[in-house]
Amino acid sequence: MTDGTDFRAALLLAAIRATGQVAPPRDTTVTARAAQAAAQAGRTLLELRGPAGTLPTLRLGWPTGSAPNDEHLADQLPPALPPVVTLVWALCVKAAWPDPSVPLYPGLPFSAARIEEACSNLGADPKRVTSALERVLPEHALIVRAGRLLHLGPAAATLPDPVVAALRRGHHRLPEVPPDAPPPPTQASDAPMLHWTWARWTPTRHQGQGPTRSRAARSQPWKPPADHCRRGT
Amino acid sequence: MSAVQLSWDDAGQEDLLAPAERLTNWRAFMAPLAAHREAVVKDPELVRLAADVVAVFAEHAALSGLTRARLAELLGPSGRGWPTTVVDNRLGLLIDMRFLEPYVLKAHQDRYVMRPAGLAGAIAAERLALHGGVDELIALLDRTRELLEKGKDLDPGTVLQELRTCRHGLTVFALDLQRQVATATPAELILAQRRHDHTDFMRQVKALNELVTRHFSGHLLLEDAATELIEAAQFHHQELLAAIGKILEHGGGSLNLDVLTAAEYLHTARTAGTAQLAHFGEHLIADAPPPWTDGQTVVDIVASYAPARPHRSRPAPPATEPGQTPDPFAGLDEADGIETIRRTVLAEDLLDGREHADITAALEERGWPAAARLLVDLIDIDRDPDLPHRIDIAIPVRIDPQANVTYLHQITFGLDTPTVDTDD
Repeated sequence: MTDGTDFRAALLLAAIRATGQVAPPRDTTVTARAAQAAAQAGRTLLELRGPAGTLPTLRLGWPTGSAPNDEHLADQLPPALPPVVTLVWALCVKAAWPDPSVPLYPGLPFSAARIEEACSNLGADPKRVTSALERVLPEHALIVRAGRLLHLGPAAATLPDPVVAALRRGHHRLPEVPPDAPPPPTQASDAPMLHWTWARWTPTRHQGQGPTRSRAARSQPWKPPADHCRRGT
Repeated sequence: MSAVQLSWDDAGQEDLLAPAERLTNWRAFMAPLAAHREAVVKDPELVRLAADVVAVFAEHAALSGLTRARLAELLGPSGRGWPTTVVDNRLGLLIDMRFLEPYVLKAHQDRYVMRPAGLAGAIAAERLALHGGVDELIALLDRTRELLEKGKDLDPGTVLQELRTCRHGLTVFALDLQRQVATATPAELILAQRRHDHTDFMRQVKALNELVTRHFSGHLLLEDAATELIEAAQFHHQELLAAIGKILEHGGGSLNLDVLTAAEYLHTARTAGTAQLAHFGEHLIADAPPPWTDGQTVVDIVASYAPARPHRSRPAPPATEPGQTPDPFAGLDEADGIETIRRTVLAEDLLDGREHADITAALEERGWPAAARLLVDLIDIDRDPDLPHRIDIAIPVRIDPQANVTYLHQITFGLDTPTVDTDD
């Protein structure tokens, strides 16, 4: 590793910390060095692959068992989402994650109309629901919009394991989201078919190479691992 | 003595040195006396048993000492809590090494007392476990000062020997500090520094020097020895400062939170300026936290939203023609008229042109519960003042388990014709 690589890796980490997520550099040695530095600081570098034709995204996650929890933070907890926004995001999770036995991320695409209808049935303020779907949740990368459909965002991929486990346990308590009306048979959907994949950068395995999934594997749609609780690479 | 004497009972476990260091100190302490390298116990906790033996003798000893059985009882599970096998083994060793000796030097003597030298050894072991032997040097300096303060018939040779012993002790401790400054980690240096922080060698050495000058002015050998003692104290002080400097240099730079005690950190947090406090965060990196997400809280918030029930609207009023207001009682009168017609038709059907008719058979034919409904209708007709009919129910009861109506009175229905009083 040269000083130049270290410097660019430090810049990469700083950019991720400042903006939440960045596109990975072409030089994979920089990414590997950044993953190594992140591991030394108690974080994990994740590479998230978005819709076909778009660049992947780098984001910081937590190693298993190292995520902060409310016991550690006590009264220093960061602010949480408002209740209506939390409700909207929970319904997005329910719509994108109908089967809790599979991993939460990447989930299935869903339409905003389904979420708005479900929120209306629960008596939520329609203006706040629309604001959450169009502004608040995308700003926090909890959902992303692709065409007419919505997807779970990169922030959902970096949720700590205990949070995902709690959502999995309470999945049956989340309200059902009404299905979309069937499209007219003659009208084809213009939404692109998205294949989201992600891989964890492990410094011990990356010495100038890409993430642990092979290029051939990354070109295929992502399939959940057999062990659904394992955030496999 | 200037040092505060602590006992194991008063000192918390955190005041003691680490177990491995305690063992090393005791091994070094025993080295001048030991016959082989395994002379010291391997478990540092066993050394506390000697202190318990001292305490037991102080609290329970009779005039003629304590029997071995009584000692085992006072130290064992029902007493000080030591396991029986440990007590037996240690008592055997203490008796063999004359830490405990028989009250009377006879065969089969089972009463024991403590030998004072053993007490001195237990106290010394205690001090080694607390401060690693620094207290011995303090005691040595105090003893030399007391010797000089007597002031009469002082033997220059004895004083010279004491001064040289003090200098040797100071030099040994200073050299040990020097080695640790060169090789030890900040955490180890902190422990070493805290071991020495209750010492005041410079003040003790200065007082000794004044006493030597007062009593042996012009005695070159003694004055030289006193000067060398000051140099040794300065050497020790210099190494102590070097240790503190290394702690601050390395510990502060690496944000090692073991550098200061918790109380010192608290004091610094409350009293230090912004610039000093900022030094601790010089190498910290922080990123804006994402919104806090707790899975259980998300589920609870969503569950608190009850599904909205469909709104039930009031039914629309009946359509009326303009200018006509519906009479709410008109329908009631109409229904009442229909009911009157139904009853009149029923009565005429039953009477079939007769004035009176026995309808017991008709009730029997209808069976239960149609018979009951007919009977209720007839009673209503009887009570209706607009209808001229009445019903008579005989008192005798006909009971037939095989009949359609098993329990039935004879019932007569007919016109309620007014009776003519013939007497009038």
